[in-house]
Amino acid sequence: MSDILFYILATVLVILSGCAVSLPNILHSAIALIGSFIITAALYIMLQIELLALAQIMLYVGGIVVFMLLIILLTTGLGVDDKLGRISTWKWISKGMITGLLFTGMLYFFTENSSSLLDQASAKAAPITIDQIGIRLLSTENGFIVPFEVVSLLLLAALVGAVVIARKDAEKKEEQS
Amino acid sequence: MDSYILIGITAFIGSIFVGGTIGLAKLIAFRTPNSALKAQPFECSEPPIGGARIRFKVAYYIFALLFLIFDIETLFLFPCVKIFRAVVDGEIAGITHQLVFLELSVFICVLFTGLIYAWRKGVLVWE
Repeated sequence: MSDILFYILATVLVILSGCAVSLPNILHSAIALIGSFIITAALYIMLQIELLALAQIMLYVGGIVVFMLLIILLTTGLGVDDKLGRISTWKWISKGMITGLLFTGMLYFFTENSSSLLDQASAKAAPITIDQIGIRLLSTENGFIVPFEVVSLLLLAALVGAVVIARKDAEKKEEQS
Repeated sequence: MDSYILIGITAFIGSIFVGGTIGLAKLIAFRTPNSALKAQPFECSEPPIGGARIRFKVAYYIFALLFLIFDIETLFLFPCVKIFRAVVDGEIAGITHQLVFLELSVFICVLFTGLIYAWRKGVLVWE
């Protein structure tokens, strides 16, 4: 059951990702990207990594893609980009074949020479609930209390940087007008 | 895991509703060929000026940036809040609710300083 579900989700993910890079209208690409992010979150849920799925939905779908849509709307490049249409079919096929061959080779290499490191990593990757992460984040012994507080400083730095960049734009505008 | 399957089923039914409505409309709707008359606005009865796809104000951009940062903050707060009930009940060894309160207060205060900075710099003023 879960295997079939995985293959359905993976197929949809590949199709949506292909749409995201190949659709001529950039707005449609962004919407396809939203879909592929949601499917990725579904894959995370299937792996029982709930917090990562939450982050995927909240940050990528709710934040970053909305942000990208805003950037698309801020610039005038909303029209259909005909550069992709100008690439000939022969080029599409040849580049696709090269990429496919490389990918198949890589896949073959990793399945044939499965390293002990990879096995250990997949054995260690047990499902972690949000509660466990919360306990580890807050506990003083063997926990991540200091990194947790440092994250807030990092976010503060990002916020100040965003403000400084936005102010620079505003100052430039005032100079021009 | 079962609750996620429920969410998936709900999403699937929702997509059927949306897709089905659009598909059914395509199937049974009566269509006339496109014309200039059809493209006219029919509710506001005013001829349009310029294109519909205009540039947005840059002011939206900084709000989106600030939203993104506080979004990440929420993501970090979520696991801590989720275990708070268990901490208050004393089910988790080594964590007291005073400690959790202190930690989260510091976390929120540091980010709130940034919000105050943005406020003072006048970034949040809508011009």
